[in-house]
Amino acid sequence: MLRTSELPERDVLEADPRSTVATRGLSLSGLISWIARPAQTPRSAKTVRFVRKNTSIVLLVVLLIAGASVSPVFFTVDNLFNILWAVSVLGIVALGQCILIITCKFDMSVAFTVGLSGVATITAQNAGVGLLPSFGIGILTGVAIGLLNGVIVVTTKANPFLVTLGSSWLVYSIALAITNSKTIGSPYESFGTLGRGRLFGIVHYSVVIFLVLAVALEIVLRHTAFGRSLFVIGINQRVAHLSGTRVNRTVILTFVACATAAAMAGLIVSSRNGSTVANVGIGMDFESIIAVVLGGTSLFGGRGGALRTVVGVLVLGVLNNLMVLLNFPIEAQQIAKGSIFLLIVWMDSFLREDKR
Amino acid sequence: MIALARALGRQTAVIVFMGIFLLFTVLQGSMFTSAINLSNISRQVAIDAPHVMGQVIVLISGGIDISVGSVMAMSSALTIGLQEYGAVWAVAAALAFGAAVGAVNGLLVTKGKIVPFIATLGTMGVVRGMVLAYTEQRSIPGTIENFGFWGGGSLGMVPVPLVISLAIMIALWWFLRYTVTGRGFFAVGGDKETAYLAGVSVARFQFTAFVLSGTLAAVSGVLLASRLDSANAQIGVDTPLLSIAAAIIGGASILGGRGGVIGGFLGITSLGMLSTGMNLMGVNTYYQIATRATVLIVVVVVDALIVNSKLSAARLPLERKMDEHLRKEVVIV
Amino acid sequence: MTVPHARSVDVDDKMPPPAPLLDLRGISKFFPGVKALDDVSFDLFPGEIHALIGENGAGKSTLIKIMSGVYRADSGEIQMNGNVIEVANPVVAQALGINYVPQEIGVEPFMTVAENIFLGRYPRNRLGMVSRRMMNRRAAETLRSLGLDLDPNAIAGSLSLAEKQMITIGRAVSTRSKLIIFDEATSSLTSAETDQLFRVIRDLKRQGIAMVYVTHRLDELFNLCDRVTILRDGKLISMNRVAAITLSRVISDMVGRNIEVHSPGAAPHLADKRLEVRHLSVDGALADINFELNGGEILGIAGLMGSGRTELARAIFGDLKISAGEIRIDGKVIHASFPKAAIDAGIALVPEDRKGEGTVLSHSVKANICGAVLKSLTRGGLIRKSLENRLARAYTTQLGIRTPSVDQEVRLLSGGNQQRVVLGKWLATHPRILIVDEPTRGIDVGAKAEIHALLSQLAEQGMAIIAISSELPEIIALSNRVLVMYRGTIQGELTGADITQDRIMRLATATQEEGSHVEN
Repeated sequence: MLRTSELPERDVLEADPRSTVATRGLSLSGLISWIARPAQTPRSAKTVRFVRKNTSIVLLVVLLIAGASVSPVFFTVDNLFNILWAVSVLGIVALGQCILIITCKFDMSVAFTVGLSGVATITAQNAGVGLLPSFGIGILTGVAIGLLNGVIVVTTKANPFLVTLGSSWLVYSIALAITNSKTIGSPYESFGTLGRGRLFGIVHYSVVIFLVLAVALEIVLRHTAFGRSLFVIGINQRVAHLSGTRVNRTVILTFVACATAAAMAGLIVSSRNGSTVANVGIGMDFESIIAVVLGGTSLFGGRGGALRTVVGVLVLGVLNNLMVLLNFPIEAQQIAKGSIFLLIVWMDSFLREDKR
Repeated sequence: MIALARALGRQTAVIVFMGIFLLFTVLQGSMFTSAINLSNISRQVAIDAPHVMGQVIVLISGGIDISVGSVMAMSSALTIGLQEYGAVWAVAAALAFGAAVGAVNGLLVTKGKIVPFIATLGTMGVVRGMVLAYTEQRSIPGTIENFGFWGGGSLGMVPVPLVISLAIMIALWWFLRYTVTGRGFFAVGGDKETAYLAGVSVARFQFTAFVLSGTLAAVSGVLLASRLDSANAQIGVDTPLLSIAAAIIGGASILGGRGGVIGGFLGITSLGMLSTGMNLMGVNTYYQIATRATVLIVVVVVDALIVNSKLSAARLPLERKMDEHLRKEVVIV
Repeated sequence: MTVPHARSVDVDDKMPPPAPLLDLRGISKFFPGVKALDDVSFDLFPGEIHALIGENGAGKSTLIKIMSGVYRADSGEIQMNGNVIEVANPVVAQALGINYVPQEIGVEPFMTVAENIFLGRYPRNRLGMVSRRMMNRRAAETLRSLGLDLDPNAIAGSLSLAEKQMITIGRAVSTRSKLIIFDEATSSLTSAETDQLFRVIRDLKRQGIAMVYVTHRLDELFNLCDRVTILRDGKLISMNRVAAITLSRVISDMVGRNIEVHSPGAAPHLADKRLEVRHLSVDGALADINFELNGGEILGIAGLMGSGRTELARAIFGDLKISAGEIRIDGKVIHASFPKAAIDAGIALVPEDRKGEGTVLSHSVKANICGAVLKSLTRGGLIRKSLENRLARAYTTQLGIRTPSVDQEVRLLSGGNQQRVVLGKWLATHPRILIVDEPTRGIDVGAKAEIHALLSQLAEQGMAIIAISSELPEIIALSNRVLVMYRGTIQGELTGADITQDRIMRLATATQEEGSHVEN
């Protein structure tokens, strides 16, 4: 079985020194000794952790193998790079959503934030603003939306899902109003470099950004006090508060981070076509949540990570790619994704040991 | 204080209703209050009312149902798509579908121990996929003559769906107020612990609430299919938010234990008047969407504030619930 | 322990003994990290009032929750009238005629008093419809019998705690029960209300209903009950007829040894004025609190539930909004509007609820101990694992935390060890003032003593400690001085030889006459 690098496994919060597989890593002897271990009850801590940690990776591997066996085109470098490129936009959104889900909240406005940031950027460009400053405007849009969401949720303690659903409509209406429901195009040729260009001619910029952000986020989550505090907020906000975390401030920051990530994704998307439309991000709210959940982050808060989310996003990407190659209808994809989501959530709930 | 909150819940709907009605009457005069206009408004409202009432019941029992929009769309599609088997069977299939999705939601929540919000988020996605698949992303036209009567027809000046919805409303009102099962929903939503210890079967009520919600969403779908004499995949995308907002205006609360179908009816009517009124005034579509969004946010925020403020229930049981909310024994809705 | 299986029902000696209504045999129950019940047997006859006594954590709650279907026993069997039954959940319990008045007072906040009393069993008219008129009428009857002057139509959420408690009692007594379990039913009642309740209970006894009565108040035991079963650390210690047992035997069975509780006397190294609280008020909870605390002393704060002790702790810690007054640490005024500020000023609070507020149960010992000081374990913004490990191991050793490793989930530790983890977490912040709220609640006797020793040691080393507790022996054993609170004010301060259970209770209940509670 393939395993990813050690990074996600060696953390304080979930380390189990007794887990032989974790400490021996990739090794045949480790695998054999694991298989030869006496059977344990399904709910024992070790098995739980193993399954939960590796579902997404196992799924990914299965899909990759399926893809390779089904289509000769699949396992080519071109195709794989293509998949990465295709998912990087959703991936960035999912990274932002991941931060929020760890604190046990959701942002349903990401879909239209993606739209509005692109719209704002291109509109600014058309108004004479330079290329780089226009990026700033796009990002600022995200920051503003995140602030709006965060402040409302924190001061009123209202349900974040409903609040962000409402703000998503607001954002959408603004984007529609600005574009007058039309597609708007950028005046700058070079705008497309962000979305289509490659670093050193090999790897797409968008993929690089996605992966760099993922690694950076992972480091923050696992190795900074701020990151740790997010997990505690997700499990028990009261304990976080009593332990000295400035909870309100932190929560607002997470909403800002999520919306900013969505804004970044919006920039990339609009740069790919050199143009954008208000509803370009439609569906990304649900998709990003699915990606995060698929990756193994718990919807109940307190567990998860950025690298896992990458895996989740990849699973979605490979799934999409496979379905396209096999000429599966789009509708089936929706059903499949939704069903997998429910399955993972059910497993997550089933395997939670601290439920009644 | 809590008596005030309870009374406030009942009155809010009336206040909001009257407020909006007066607003547009003043702004638009006879154009707004004309029989045709009122008839139009009430037709649309009547089509939405069943799913709102379903949402009210789920909210009362302490849950939430986000899948109502997708269910409405699928049952619309089934009603039209199965017309070759006769209208009766098509409608029956549509209603059965709604009930089935409700049952799935119920099982996910009671047996799967998944929080209602997430469970219904999942079914929403799955059912939406089914809608896309079934309609093949096109609009399907209806084929039975006179089927449009139920959604589109009128008895005199009164739209038929209004009659149907009012009848459902009265039946549900009576059910919630005067049957043991009906009161059970309030008990489960008000304080789950207390209900559980008093021997009320919490799981049974949660399950039943979702089945009812699914079925009522299907009713809305059938009425809509009849009105449009067709079905398409775009139906119901706004619906979850709409039904929750209408229910909350009607006195329901995210935290459960409160609410009423009459209030819900008034709530959706208020929102309907708002929409139509703005249309009549020629308000820009974008402003309309923004206004609706703001109304929704305000409704949700006010509900949260009421729940949190001292004005609301006395400290102990609700405090326990709120603290549990923060402590994750009762996870977010 | 062999137990004389005495029968206590008042029957004619010539008649054959009635069979027990409920018979629990060999009941054991495990929770992660603790054996809550160990082979406990218990029986109950119709018309008997059977007391269940024990300290916190002795297993009383667990036993009655098994009887009422909230928990399932891991081993043992339950018989009712000779038939083996399984009380799978409260619905089944209700059907069997078992009614439970829970310790946590719960009412439906949005329903009326009448609806609460008849929760789930609303009276119906001939048409099968719920009849509010009948419901209100019968509710009024029940309320009258309980001596309550309440409007059946009043909304339950707005009532006082005592009234809510009476409603939950009303719920149980208004059904056809075979068995009613009262769990600390008088915790929020005045003595007049308690007398009324006893009248109702005696009436139920005459009707042949069996009752289990759990209480901390030993005078109620001797006033009301026929038999008494005493649990300790999950085991059955003794079961006797009340008439045949003495108070000191009850206490010694509860506690396990003869405890002579002595106050440590005045603190030896009275240093500075570490903490000064002047005119502290919190809207609705505290009024004009004034006191001082020196380094090296343990100040005990006693009082009944609801007297404001925890609120005082929270206010000092920045967790509750202060409406008036000031707090000084080492002479400097402190404005803490959230815990972080208080922690920075040198205050630490070990909360009452260690599972819900003190620890993150699913995290490791290491993560919990480092939980409040993570920033100091970083170099260049990143947490250094080596520093974390070092800190965690240091406190684990120093505080004697028994755990296989610092990576063990706190959930799996015993209560005493969990509490030590919380202590470690707060000691790591190097506080000037340590506030502990119910430091040994739910912890077995041995660990209790160890934690007390720890606290005394800390005081000797110069820490200023505030110890809040509902357990009077604990307050007496720990404190150099005691403040007694009542309804948000400080009723009095006790020092030296004046620190007795009697005096504390008198101040805590604001009574003038000689203490009405059991003296040691």
